[in-house]
Amino acid sequence: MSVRKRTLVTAAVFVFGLLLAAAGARAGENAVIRDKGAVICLECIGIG
Amino acid sequence: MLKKVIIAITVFFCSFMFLSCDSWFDMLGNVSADAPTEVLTTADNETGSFPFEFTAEDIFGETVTRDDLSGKEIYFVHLWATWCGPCIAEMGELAEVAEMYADSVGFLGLLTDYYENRAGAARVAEANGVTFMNIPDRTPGLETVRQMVQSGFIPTTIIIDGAGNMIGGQLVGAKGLGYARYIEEALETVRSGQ
Amino acid sequence: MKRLLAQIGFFVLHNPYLQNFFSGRIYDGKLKGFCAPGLNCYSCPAAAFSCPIGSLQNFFRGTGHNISLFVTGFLIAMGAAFGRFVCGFACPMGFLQDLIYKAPTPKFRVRLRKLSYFKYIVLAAFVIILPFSVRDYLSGLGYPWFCAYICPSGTIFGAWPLLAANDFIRGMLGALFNIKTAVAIGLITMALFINRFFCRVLCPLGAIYAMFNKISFVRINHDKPACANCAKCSESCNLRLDPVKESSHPDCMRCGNCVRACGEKALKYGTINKSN
Repeated sequence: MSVRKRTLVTAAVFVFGLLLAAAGARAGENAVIRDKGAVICLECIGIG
Repeated sequence: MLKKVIIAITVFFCSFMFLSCDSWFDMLGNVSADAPTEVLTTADNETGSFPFEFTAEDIFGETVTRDDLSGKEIYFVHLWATWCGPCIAEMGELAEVAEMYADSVGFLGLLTDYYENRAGAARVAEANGVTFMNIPDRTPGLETVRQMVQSGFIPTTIIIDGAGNMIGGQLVGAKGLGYARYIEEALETVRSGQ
Repeated sequence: MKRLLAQIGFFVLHNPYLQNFFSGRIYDGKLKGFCAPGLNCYSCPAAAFSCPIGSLQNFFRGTGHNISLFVTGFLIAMGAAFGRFVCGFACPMGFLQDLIYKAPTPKFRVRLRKLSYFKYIVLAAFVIILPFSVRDYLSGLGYPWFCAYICPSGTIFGAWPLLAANDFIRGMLGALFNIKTAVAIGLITMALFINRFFCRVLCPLGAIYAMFNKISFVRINHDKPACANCAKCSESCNLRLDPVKESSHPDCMRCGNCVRACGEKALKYGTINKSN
């Protein structure tokens, strides 16, 4: 595949990722992520 | 080339931080941005009233207000979540403790994942015989008490008096029947203080 | 040495709140709404961001919508841009393993061909399928299988500092903690002898980034005309990869050993171009 095509594929995937992330942010996912991330994950430290 | 890569990684990474934030200032602070800005005043507080005004729908769908909680000597505020194993495991014993002290202690459950899993919370509460109210932790009006019960750990419990002052420290972790001891101590403190 | 500096820098970027190691509290501000690129537990007291795998898992095991668009999109974008550069330069868990590997022990430079597929199973089973499907009948929640049973980042950067600073946690430990510690110590031991064992065999985040290695924008390029076919590059590779035959191999973390070993300057860090 030519350089141009390969760069386009990568760029397209990258932009797709950004769009997904933006959609998630608009859907308010960051608040949900923070709700869990701001509290100690008990299982992660070996409890429960 | 390598320097560019490192800079690129840092730039892309930082750019994600600005996707959806309200304010950059409190983003960088090391404490929760929900810190209350008003000082609690007790001047207009009747004796025995729960010190904070609120209206909310609890997990069983009933509308509850401060009045449903009032008329007690002390208030037991319990922060929990349905995804927290120890919180669920102690629910039965906590319900027992709540029954034991129902006359003198007002029990308030603050649920951090109310909006994601109210149904699950209701099932857990029913299966364990929970009779005290459980409302969203972000209920407007409860910012002060929410800040007080914040410890980075779930479950966390605090006991407050009618003026909104904390009796003792934060009770961090699941205690089950062990809560009774702290309630007894708090009741003694409040009764002897008068 | 530039890579070491980058790793130190990214460790601090992931974990800036060093004072929390003493207070025993974790940071709970707005930054926790975002993900770090590396495997860094959000229960680490100093951590500023949430772990991408931990966050993904929380969505899969939760009761709301199960696929996090934000985390998935973030990982896809990072993968497309950098591939496993993140593993080699930015991941704190990778940094720790590299430090441990520096210890003067015998080294086993093995290929780990079949074993390296296991990380995809870890990703599929422990991050996605098990958390999603095995649920508590009352709360409706799944269990965080990867974080609970496997992740060494949670044990080393989360559990151990928290235990050191908080006595009330010490009384709550049970069988799960023994499993976690055994796994962590096992992986630390492996890191002494086999370069980046965890990253190649178990890490689900590595599995995700590995899938993007072949298309990543930034990569290591092999200039065929300049190549002397001397095999110095594959000999220098800690993972026993061959940069000549298999550039941008899914396990290549772009550490640069081969770039430095090449006498003809045929291997260089670069972006997508004519070579390979």
